[in-house]
Amino acid sequence: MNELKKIAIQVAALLVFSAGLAFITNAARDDRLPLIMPFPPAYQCPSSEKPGLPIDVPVALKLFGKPGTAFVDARKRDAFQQGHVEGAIPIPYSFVEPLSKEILETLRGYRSVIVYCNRHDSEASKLLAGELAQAGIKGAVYLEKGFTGWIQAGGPYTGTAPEGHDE
Amino acid sequence: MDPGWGPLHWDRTGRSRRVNPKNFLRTLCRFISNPLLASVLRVALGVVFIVASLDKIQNPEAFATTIANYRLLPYKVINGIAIVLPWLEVVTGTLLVLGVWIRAGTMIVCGLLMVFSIAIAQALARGLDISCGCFATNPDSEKMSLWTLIWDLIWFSWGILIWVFDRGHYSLFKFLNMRKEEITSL
Repeated sequence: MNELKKIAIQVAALLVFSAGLAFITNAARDDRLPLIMPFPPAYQCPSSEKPGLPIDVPVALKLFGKPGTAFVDARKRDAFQQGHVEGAIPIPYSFVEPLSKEILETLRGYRSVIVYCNRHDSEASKLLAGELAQAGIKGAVYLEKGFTGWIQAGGPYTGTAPEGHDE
Repeated sequence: MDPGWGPLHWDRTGRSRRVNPKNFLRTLCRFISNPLLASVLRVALGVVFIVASLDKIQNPEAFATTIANYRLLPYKVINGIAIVLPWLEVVTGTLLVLGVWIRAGTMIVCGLLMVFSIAIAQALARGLDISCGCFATNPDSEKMSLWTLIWDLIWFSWGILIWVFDRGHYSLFKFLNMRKEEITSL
């Protein structure tokens, strides 16, 4: 038991020493790395390093209902179930989960893929659109002003309208 | 003569004897439990970890990208891990080479190897076409394969042998103690 205790103390000491050394050398570097990775993460791979291109609501309204156009909801499932653009496909954006082959095959048949979320900064839809574009999906763009902007412009939707943009 | 006397024994007729499994296993156990072998593996494992850490210490941003590629961790913790992990590798690798705090260093190294093996296994299972980031931070370097996982498991088995059989017979402390005794005996 004493031996294990001694080993545990040594392990803890090594971890603390290594972490201290790491943080000190990082702080001393000119190109120091921030301790917390900023969102949106600039290190997404294998998807696009750049976010997707925007499309504004009036243009998206014109494309709505036309053959070859798909709307993709990048929000979580429960937000989608509460209300979504009519006919939208739910593909919740997840940093840790790359897009599946089935989803990519489904979207390859469309000419325009309009991704939307409901964040103030449109980050989830921006990143998902970028990832789709990187994966070879043609016409993948993100909707500026998101689901709230869509409803305010009179766009058709199913379910209930959100109270405002998400943080 | 007792048949099966030693696995390499040749009898007087010059015909080779069949290997006796019991003796073979005994010889193998003796070989594996040899403190010199354990020390050699300890030094080798230490060198592997030191070499693996050097590029990551110089390029923490690229290493953070490599960790992100595994799509395993929440993005907020990735930078912290990219900063600390290489230093943990170089410190434990150095201690293993010198034979200082052997069991603590081995525990950390085996823990890291287990985590790396799980990360690589899940990346292979999910079909992620990424580079391992084991020795280089360049995302265009050799993509990971089953051999990456196999090598990690081989090093993990070295760690187990070191934990069980290395008692510091060939270590810096032992060497310094010997020198001290030589000096005091003069």
